Amino acid sequence: MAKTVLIVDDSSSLRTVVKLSLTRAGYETVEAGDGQEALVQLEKLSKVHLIVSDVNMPNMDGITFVSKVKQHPRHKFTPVILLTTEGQDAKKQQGRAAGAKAWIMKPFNPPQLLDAVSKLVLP
Amino acid sequence: MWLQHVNSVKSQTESAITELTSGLASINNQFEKAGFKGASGNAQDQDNTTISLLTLCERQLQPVIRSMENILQSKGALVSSVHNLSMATAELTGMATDVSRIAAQTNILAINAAIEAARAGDVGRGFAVIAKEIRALSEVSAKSGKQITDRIAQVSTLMESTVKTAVDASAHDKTAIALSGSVVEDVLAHVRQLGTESEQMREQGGVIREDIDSLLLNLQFQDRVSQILGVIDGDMRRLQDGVGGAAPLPAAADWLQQLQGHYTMDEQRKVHAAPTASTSTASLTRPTAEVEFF
Repeated sequence: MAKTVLIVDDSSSLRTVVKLSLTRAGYETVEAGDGQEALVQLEKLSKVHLIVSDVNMPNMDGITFVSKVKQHPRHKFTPVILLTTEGQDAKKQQGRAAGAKAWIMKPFNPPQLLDAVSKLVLP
Repeated sequence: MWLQHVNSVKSQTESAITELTSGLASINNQFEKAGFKGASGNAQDQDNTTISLLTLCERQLQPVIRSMENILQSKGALVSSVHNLSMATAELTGMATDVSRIAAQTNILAINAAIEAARAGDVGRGFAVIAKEIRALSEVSAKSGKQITDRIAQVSTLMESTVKTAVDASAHDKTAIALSGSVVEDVLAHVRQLGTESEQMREQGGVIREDIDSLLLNLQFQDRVSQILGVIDGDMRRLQDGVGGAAPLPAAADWLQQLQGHYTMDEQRKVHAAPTASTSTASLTRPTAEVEFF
């Protein structure tokens, strides 16, 4: 059975690029435009095997979203990859402290993203 | 008005790139459906490639030809055995003829003995009885010899018929096996051809996969452009609010410092630090760093 990945990004084109990279490798994807929308999606899903989230987004940024996921009773063990243009170390440390598992800079190389996803995705 | 134009650029590029990426996804799906899947690095995919199935097919068909050849050799050996048996029945016929000949001579001998017994008169009477019994035995022997000869002749006829049938069947089998072998060889040649074509398609699929990866990397420029325009958008709103407000606008240095606080990318910070330096577009499409695991 295909594994589900939640893609969170305010850019629809970037979501489509991530989606295509993942569906080519056999993953199923669910999309959300920001952290708030992603939390609504998580309520609807019984299991998400991995989350790929942007950092700078309107309404709820990626770092706040990660900390909310880590408190979620059903999804707190779901690994999160932060995929961002943000290169500042301070932000990176915030992401790590919030509970993210990996940090990938945009623009990303699809095989590189797939490698990280396959290493972190839940069984 | 500037704001509206900037937002128009942002939304037009966003929707165009989304359309382009969706189109690319569709093309990618069509290629994969057409068999140009390429090497994905997934072990399960590689185990199930058409080439390995075709190799398996070839490996399973080759023993069929060998089995057919073995059957033909076994039939040859059977024909040879039946032929030897036929030769043995010829020897038996000779032996049966000897039995008939011995019976005929014994009969003559018994007749002569009876004549001699008659000549001897009373003294030869007992010998005449023995000669009569010997004659009777020779007649039984002659009859048995004839029956054996007849029976062997029947067996011999059957043997010849069997040898002929076996030889004919063997010739038919040889033709059929040669034909089957030729058909199997043709099938194997087609299988090998399919295997080669399938491997070429897989290699081309790998090239297509790399090209699509490269396109996916390049299509991400829009996200960076959108972030740059987003910061400009915010700053123009700030200017609009400042111009319309009662308070005087801050000094240029303070204004720029505030602007700097909204940057999210190193490119923005570099441009801000050296505004007159030329900006390389390569940074928009180059992967900037390795994956960092926490």
